Amino acid sequence: MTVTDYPVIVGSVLFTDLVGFTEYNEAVGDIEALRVLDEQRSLVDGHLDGQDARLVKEIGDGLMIWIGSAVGGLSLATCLLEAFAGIHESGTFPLAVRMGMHHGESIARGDDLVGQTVNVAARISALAGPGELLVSQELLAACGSAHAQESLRPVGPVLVKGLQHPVWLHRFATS
Amino acid sequence: MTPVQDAARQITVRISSTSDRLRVVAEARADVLVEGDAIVHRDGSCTTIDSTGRRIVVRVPVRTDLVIGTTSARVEVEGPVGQIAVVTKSGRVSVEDATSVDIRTSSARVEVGCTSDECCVRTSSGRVEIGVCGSADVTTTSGRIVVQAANGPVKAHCVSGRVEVGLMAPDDVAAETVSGRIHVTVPHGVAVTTNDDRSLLTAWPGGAEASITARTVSGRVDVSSK
Repeated sequence: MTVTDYPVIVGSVLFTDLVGFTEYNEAVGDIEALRVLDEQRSLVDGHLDGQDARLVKEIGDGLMIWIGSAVGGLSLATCLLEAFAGIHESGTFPLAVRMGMHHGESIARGDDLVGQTVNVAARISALAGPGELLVSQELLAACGSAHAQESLRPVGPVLVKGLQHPVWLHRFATS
Repeated sequence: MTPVQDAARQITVRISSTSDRLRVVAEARADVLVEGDAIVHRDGSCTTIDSTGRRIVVRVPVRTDLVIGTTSARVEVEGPVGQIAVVTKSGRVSVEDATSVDIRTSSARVEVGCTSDECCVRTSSGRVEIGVCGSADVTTTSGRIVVQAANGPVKAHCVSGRVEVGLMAPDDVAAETVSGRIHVTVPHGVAVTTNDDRSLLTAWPGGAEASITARTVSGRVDVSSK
């Protein structure tokens, strides 16, 4: 089997992560930790309804989401960021969420996606702080002018193993 | 040595570097000068530098905006720069004087002398020391962050690490930790009382008030005066 036997799809890959989930689990126990994961899943599922997007997989306390377009991806990610910030601020959700997103080609392997677009999105997510969304220049370029430039701020280039050129990142924050 | 720019307007220099050592010097000059092996591209007021040599020195006009990305280089920024953003995995980052900073690292040691506006730092396990800043937005997983003197609102978040903030002006503090410790110091003469919602109120000489909201699971958030 070769790589050409797998379909290549173009879209945006979003990673989310609950900041401090392991320590939270340790402090409050498994049942409460599971409740938090269920609440996260329920909120995300609600935002995915009717979108050209799907939850690819849960990775511990993190989620990997694929969205069919960059504009749709940025819109979904900012809506999720604000929704999580809202329930966190009100005290009903105990942890902050961080997110990273990249745009490009991925290889579909069953329900899963693999490839550099996925790797880069994961790396970007790891650089975000609580309540932050970091996105790549490639994602913004794919959006064209259909994004709110004023809410984004450059945060620097990230050098990713296997990529010849650095990936330039921008920060979107709810406040 | 390659002089690459001469402009009187706000200049942005973007540097991506796999070098061992990157030194940026902000000084009284109008152009951007690169010493060391690098590919330099100029687009209007933005200069992009891709450095591969072992050592590189970039000389820029005072208050130039900088955007820097490395893997594990030693990054030294001397002299007054504008907004600076740095992404690195490890190594050591020092910034003497900036309008604002945004530094993201896994385990690098970070030292910031002073910023007039926002100081934003994200680290996993590195040690971060910030002298004087405007507002502060600092996050660590298990590392230690010290903000000696914040003159604006403060957001401090740690998972199991430690954050220490010296508050110099009547501004709000939002502190959050899972199992770590956040310690806020206010100047002598500032009264600290507890609100009905369990947040803290600071009453400053002259009548100004501000709040300190703390959220923790099993960690500790405390306030003292010096």
